[in-house]
Amino acid sequence: MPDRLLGDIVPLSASSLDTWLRCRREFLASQLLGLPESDAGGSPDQGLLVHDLLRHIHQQGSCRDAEHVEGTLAAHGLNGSSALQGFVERHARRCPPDDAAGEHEVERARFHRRPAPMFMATGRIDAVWRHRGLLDARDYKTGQSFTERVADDPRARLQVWLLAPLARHEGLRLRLRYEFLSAEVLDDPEPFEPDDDDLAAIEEELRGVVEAMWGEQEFAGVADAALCGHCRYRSICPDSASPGVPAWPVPPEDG
Amino acid sequence: MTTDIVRTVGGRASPAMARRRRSLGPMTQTDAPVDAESPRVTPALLRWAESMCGRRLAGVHHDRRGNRPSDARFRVANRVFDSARLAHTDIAVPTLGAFRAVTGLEPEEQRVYEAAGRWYVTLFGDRAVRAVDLDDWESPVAELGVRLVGPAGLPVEDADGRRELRLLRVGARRPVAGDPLESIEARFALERVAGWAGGASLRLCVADLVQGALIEREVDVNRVLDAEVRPWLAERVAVIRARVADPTPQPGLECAHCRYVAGCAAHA
Repeated sequence: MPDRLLGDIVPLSASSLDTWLRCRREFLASQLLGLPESDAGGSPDQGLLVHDLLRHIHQQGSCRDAEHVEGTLAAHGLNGSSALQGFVERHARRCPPDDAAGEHEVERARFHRRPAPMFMATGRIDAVWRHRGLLDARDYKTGQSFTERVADDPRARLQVWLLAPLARHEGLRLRLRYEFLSAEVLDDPEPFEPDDDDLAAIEEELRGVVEAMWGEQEFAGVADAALCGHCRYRSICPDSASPGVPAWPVPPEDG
Repeated sequence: MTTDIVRTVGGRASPAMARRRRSLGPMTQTDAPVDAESPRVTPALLRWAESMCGRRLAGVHHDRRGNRPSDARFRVANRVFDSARLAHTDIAVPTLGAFRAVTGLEPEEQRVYEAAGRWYVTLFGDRAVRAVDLDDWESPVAELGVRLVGPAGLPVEDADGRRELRLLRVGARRPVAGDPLESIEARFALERVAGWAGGASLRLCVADLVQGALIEREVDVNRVLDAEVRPWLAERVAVIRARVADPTPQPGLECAHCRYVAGCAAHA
C-alpha cells in the first residue's frame, strides 16, 4: 500500500495554506514529507522578537507608557535598540484603548466535517482585543505589505474563520487588522470585518483547497526564480529555478 | 523483516502484540506478566505530559482508535534505518553500497536519504558490528504496568560482543549535543532494550545524519537504568496518569495532529 500523504483530517494553517498557494512542491517537501530544509530562508528572528516584546509589554502595562516600555526593553537586554523602540511606537499608535481587554498568542482550532473532505484549521492569533462591541484581532507584521485589503489575503481569511465562533459566542463583531510595524510601510491594509456570507464563502474556499490537496498527483514546483530563490528546499527540489548545493554539512571525505 | 508472534513476558502473546511486532525477540526480562493491552507510553507522552491536551493524551495512553494520520513523514528516516540495519546483517563496517538508491522516494527525499547514508558511513564507518534483531516497536514494563511503544534505536554488537545502541535522526528539530542520556528518546530506548543490554556496558550513540552530529557515551546499563532511567520513567508515568485522570480537551494548535477529533466536545 502506498504511503498516505494526507491523513483522514487534513491540518490547515495560515502557513501551510500560504505554502500550498505559493508552490505545491514546497508544500509536499515541508508540510507532507516534513523534510529537513536544505537551504536558509528568511530569518524570522526579528518578527518573533517583536511579537514577544509586545506580548510582554501588554501583559504588564501599556504600550503607551514610555517608562514601562523602556523598562521592558531593558529587562530583555534590548535597551538602546531604536529599531525595536520604533516598532513599539508604531504599534502604540494603532493599539486599542488602554481599557480594552486583550490576550496575546491566542490559539484557535476549528474542525470542518461536512461536506467532505474534513480538515482541521488551526492558528495562533497575535493579539485579540475586546472593546466597543468588537473582537479586534491583530496580526503584527514586521516585513513588507503585499496587499491593500486584509480580506484579499488567504491567510487572513483562514484567521477570521478561526475566530468567528469566538466572536459569535461573545456577541461581538469580528475585525482582523494587520499592523505593519516597519517604518517603510506607511499605511496598513484595510481591515477585514467578515459577515456571515464572507465566512460561508471562506469555509467553502478552504474546503476547496483541501479537496485540491486530495486530488493533487504531480506536486509540480512553481519554477519561478523569484520565489525559488527564497525557498528552503531550492537546492534539492527537482523543479527549482534557483538550484544550488544543500547547506547541510558535508562529510570530510566528500568535501 | 518478519512478522511473528513472539515470546512475551510471562509467555503471553496476543493478536495485538503480533500485529505490532515486526521482528523477533523478547524485550523485558521480568517475571511479572504485563497485559498486552496495558496503557501505552510513547516518547511524545513522556516529553509533553504536562502540556498535551488531556483528552488527546488519554487517547494515546489508552491506545484508542482514532482517525488515520499521514504516514509519509517518517519514510525517509525509516528507509535510512532499514538500510543501516541491512548494512550490518553480518559483522561489517557500513559502506555506501548499503545506501544505494531506493524506490518509492521523491527526489528530495532521495537527496536526504543519500546525505544521511554518507554521514552514517562517516560517523560509524570504523566500527564492524552486526545488527541485533530485537522487537522494534514495543516492550512491556511490568513494574509500571505500561507498554513502551516507539522506536528503540538500532542495537548492534561487535565480534567481541561489545554492545552499542544507535539512535539515528534524520534532520532533528533539536540539536544533537550534550549527554546522550539527556535525550528522552535515548532513555526510552535504553529501557526498551534492557533485556538485551542489561548487565553489561553499552555505548549509547545519538546521531543526526543530516547535520553530521554524533554524541556518545559508555553506559553501565544496570546502573544507569536503576539510578537514572527507571526513577525518571516512574515519575513521568505518574504525571501521565495524573493527566489521564482529567481528560478535558484543550483545543489549540495540537488539534492539527490529534487522532481523536471524533467525539471531542471542543469540535462538536
